Amino acid sequence: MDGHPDARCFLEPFHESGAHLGIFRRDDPLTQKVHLGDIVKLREADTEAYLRFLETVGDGRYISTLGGGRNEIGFKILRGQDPAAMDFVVACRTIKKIVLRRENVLAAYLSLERALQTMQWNLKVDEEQEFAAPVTFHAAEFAEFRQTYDEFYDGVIARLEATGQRYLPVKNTALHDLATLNACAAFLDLPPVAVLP
Amino acid sequence: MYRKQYDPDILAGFANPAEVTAWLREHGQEHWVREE
Repeated sequence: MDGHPDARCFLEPFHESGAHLGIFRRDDPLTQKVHLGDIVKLREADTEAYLRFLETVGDGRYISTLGGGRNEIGFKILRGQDPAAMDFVVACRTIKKIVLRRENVLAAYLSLERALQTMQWNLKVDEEQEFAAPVTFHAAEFAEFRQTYDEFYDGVIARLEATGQRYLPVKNTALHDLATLNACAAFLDLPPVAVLP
Repeated sequence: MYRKQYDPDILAGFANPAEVTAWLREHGQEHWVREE
């Protein structure tokens, strides 16, 4: 979604190891100031204030050169990250939700096991294949993973539907299709793009 | 250019693919052997 010229999607601002916004550069003192500042403390203290801060970064009010000026400011929050923040986000009716779900739970399990093995959580599939050793399948462990996985997504969707919130389901296998990007754009009331960025 | 984010050959990632295949067959999820 970050490829849309009118949208800014922060990487993983609720990542357990820090605020991974995906726009800061190590060689830029201004961005370091933001990155190393008190934003994690703000996140821990007040989810809503933290999200308002991200909005000011994304739309250029905080530092205009950091890819600001976007009309729609968004972020990813993943299963397992900051449960309190997840509760807030799911309940917040002014945040539009795009629910990205990996339908192939075995693939999700394999990816998690590879991440645990390599301690690399943001690898692409081909990088996972290159760096990770084959994973031993344990049926009972997988069954437990599948149950937890499905309960999370089914629970989020149930809460959205129970509170009358519209959401856009997206399959990971369609993630980088132009049609999917434009479906997301339409959901966010943004104009379509002609080509993938 | 984006790279594909899905796995075309799930079984290749496992050390014991026969056990994976047996589980998938038992649970009617044979289509999970690839992601497309």
